[in-house]
Amino acid sequence: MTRHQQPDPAAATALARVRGQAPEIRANVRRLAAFASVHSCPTAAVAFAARIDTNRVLAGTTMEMPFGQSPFAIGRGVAFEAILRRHGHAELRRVLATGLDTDFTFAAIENLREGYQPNRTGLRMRATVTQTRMAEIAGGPAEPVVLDGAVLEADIGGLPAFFEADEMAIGVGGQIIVGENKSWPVVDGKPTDEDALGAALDQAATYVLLGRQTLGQAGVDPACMSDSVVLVTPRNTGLAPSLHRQDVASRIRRIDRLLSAVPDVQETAASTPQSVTFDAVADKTLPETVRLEAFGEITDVLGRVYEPASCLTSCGFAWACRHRLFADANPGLVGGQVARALPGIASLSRVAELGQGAPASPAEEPAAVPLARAGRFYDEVMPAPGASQRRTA
Amino acid sequence: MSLARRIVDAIGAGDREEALRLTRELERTLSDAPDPTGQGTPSFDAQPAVVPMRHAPAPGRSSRQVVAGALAEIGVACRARVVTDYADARFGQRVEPRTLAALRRDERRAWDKGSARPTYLVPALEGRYFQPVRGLLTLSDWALERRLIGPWSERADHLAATAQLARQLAWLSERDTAVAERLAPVVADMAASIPGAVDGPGLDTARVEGAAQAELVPLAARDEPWRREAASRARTQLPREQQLWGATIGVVAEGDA
Repeated sequence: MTRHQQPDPAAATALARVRGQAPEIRANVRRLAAFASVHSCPTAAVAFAARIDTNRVLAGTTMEMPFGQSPFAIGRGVAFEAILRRHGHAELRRVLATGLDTDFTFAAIENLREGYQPNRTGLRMRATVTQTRMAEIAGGPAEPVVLDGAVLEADIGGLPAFFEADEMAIGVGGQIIVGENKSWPVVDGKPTDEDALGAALDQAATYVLLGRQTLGQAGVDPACMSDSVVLVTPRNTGLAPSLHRQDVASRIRRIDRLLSAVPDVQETAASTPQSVTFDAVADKTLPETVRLEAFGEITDVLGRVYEPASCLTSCGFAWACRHRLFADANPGLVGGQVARALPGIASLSRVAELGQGAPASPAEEPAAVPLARAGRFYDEVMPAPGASQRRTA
Repeated sequence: MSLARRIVDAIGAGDREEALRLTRELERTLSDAPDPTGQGTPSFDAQPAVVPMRHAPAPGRSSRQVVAGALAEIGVACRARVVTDYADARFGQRVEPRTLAALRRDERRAWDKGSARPTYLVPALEGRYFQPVRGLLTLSDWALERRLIGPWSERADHLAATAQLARQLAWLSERDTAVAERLAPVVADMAASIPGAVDGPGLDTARVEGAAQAELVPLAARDEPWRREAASRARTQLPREQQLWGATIGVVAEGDA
């Protein structure tokens, strides 16, 4: 078992102050994946270190983003998992046997989802069972072992966190294979949602990585964890499970880099100014303008990196940041790539003026020349306003 | 003194003759008395008709008794849904699976109060740390081995339950066809995941039982030693109460591994 250092009490207090009454969230694979795509943003980094649930901080304001799973998707997921588990995991045995070409009829299936308390104590016990069972791979078990709801413990930015994998099949050809159950269908061999597929594979790759760390701690060769993972999804329009095997070696490497880039909690706590707190932002009794203003001040102090593509899909602050940038006509609104092409220019309205030939200051000079050229070109191509020609879409 | 009183006294005094005479006198008095309705023999003109009547299931059986009865007949740790489906088919009494949580809490309360019940509905226990598995029901009078759940137990229990219900169905189909008809779909559903158990539209109970036993035998060879070992561990580690309701484990301090 890993021995984690107790987080410095001062750091813990500092982060509790930053969080205020903002809703808290435990580190999990979804949260980690969401943070991974916005990890360059200082505000997002502080929120992650303070374990703030960014999706719920702005609840009750017009800037609350419609994140979260649909109840129908959750219901479908529950039903699908129930099918896999009923009759003593009969369907799971069948689908694993067909997909992995190993007999699972007499496999030992440890159901770690039941009989353990739904709290840290329960998670820790499950992590212990997971590690013990994984270490048995060294002895070459006679029959495969399946851990339903395996729990892996990892150190995220200096704090211990638990991650819950759907399945872990141990002893398949001397290897351990991670499995993930997803209830979205694969129709005619094609996933209906490419983004969901990517997220699921990232999730499974994270488990492989953490599984290797766990094996290493137990003194077992980490190479026992297979590079390929399995996804169990419904086939076509029904709920009949089918299995897909996929190599995720490149994803494992990417997630390894991302995990090591997670900011250290102690450092983040030490470097966050005293004035920064999400308390007022999450206070539902305050008027929306006050809450958004408080959020604006935090991002002004900490700094923000707004990338439309990644922020809008993974950060609950994205609309609030965009709103702020829009009010300032900040070039960052259209994304970092464009903003980097406009050094020294304060706003998008100034960009438009320079495009129309406004005299540039020395600071604006490098960007002003191509902008003026682009403006002239635009005028040549596009008809002047008021011309009788109708523009077609 | 009334006639009835005098009869009692005569019997009490052992005077058989007097008692018989007085009884006959009482009979005469009663038959001479006027009809209280005053209309002599009642007339009833309605045509006789046969009204089909379905006996309501034996009233007064609580859902606790129904569940305990069903579980006793199945004989192994079981999911709430299977127990209630079986009870519905067998006793014609529907118990909603979601009410079983409240039932389980009542059982615990009754145990705490020291009520004298022969058996309690208790959760199955997971066999490593002996924590209660709330979805699986067992009875307190079963041996500890049968109330523990290990890596093979859920499937082994499912196979044992299916074999038992197939035998029960075969027996019932000769005695109570209505119940057998209700029970058949329950058994068919349970047998659906057993290779070779169901073939064609009909349900062959011998085939179901055979297929379930065939898979169960090698599985039990793994499951039973595991259960015995876990049970002996539990007996040495846990007091009687925790052997029934599950071990209590304190919360581990944050960050303490």
